[in-house]
Amino acid sequence: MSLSPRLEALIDAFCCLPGVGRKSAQRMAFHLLERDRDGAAHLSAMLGDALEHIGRCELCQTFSETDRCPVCQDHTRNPELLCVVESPADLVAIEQSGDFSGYYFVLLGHLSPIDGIGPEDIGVDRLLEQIRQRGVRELIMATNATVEGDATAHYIADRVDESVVTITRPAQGLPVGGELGVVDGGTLSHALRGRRPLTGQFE
Amino acid sequence: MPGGELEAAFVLHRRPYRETSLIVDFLTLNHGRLSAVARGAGRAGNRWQAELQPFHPLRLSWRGNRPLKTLTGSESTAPALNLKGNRLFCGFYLNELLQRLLTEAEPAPGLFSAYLNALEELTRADAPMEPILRRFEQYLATELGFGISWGQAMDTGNAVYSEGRYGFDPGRGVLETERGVVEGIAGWQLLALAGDDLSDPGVLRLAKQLMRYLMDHLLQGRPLHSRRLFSQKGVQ
Repeated sequence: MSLSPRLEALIDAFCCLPGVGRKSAQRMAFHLLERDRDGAAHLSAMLGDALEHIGRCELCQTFSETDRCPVCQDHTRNPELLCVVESPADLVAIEQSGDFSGYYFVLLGHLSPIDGIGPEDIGVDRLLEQIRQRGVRELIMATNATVEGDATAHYIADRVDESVVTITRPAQGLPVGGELGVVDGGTLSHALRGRRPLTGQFE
Repeated sequence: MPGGELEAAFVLHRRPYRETSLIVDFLTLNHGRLSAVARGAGRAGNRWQAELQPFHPLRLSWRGNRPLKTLTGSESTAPALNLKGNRLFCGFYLNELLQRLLTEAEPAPGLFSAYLNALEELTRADAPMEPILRRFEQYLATELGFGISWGQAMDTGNAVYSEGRYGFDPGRGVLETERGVVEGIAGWQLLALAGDDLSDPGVLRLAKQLMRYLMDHLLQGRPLHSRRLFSQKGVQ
């Protein structure tokens, strides 16, 4: 069966979403055209609007509608703490934990030489600039606990003057509610190496 | 590998595939470089997420006859090799070389053990990094059929003698009378390379220069990104 050219083009356009193949794309397109034309108009307007107005924060590189994102504009935060994360989703996760009061820097990726992603692609120079400008005292390298995340953390740490800035990495260990027997060996060995005295932990 | 034992392997590279899967490239003991889909490995909490990491000694099983296999099982045989800092970048460099230069499904059992040895040496803080990389590069070149006979001039067939001066061309090897991309190499340095003696700093520098030409020749102009990670003072 051949579809009209515009319909074909719409289905192709949906295929750009992660996890959406031709079949799902076709379902989405038919649904919007058949049953939810208002929804489609809304979606189209929102997409256009988002593309036009959402850019990157000039300080931390996260998505932002203004030159500076709300977090970077918040002057009650502690400028001596800077947390480096790989993606805006990581930033949101840390914000939701409520335990962090400093500023962020979003790399939008990690170093991965095989994929051709080098230091300039993740904005390392901008980060170093930020560290100087904000007077950062502690740099928290909250990149993913993968080999690439470790490499990224190390690469950045190597370029920061450690006499001025303390560099830390979030602890790796047992998940809350996790049972010891089902935790993978790598996590368990990290957890054991990073063990802490029991006294004082529950204050 | 149907019906067989599990195959020793290391992850070279992983990339996302569909929503929750990964395509992983492995270096295996008996099947050379191998690509396989790890279904569900991109899902949070999947066991494969922690296991299918570079520098982690694994045993694998897979099925499929096409070049892209489907991973059916994996187990970790030892904790991941603990590479830190520049040593981790060296590991990336080895992975990138293998990923770019090794043809899929070309058995290379010797290369697997050379890789394992190189990684194990890299984990030892007292072992200098550069000779490890140079030895691996030489091994890789030989495995690919581009090994260099350091002790013999290719244009004349004469043995290299230690007082002589020689040229080098990555496609041919040591040259006595013809011109190479590098000129005026001391014979004794080539003989040191032939004897795998990298203890002299000058010889090590020479090895780096020549191997870089050789690797670039093998890569045919494709860039090698891990080189950019090494800091100014660094190694590689």
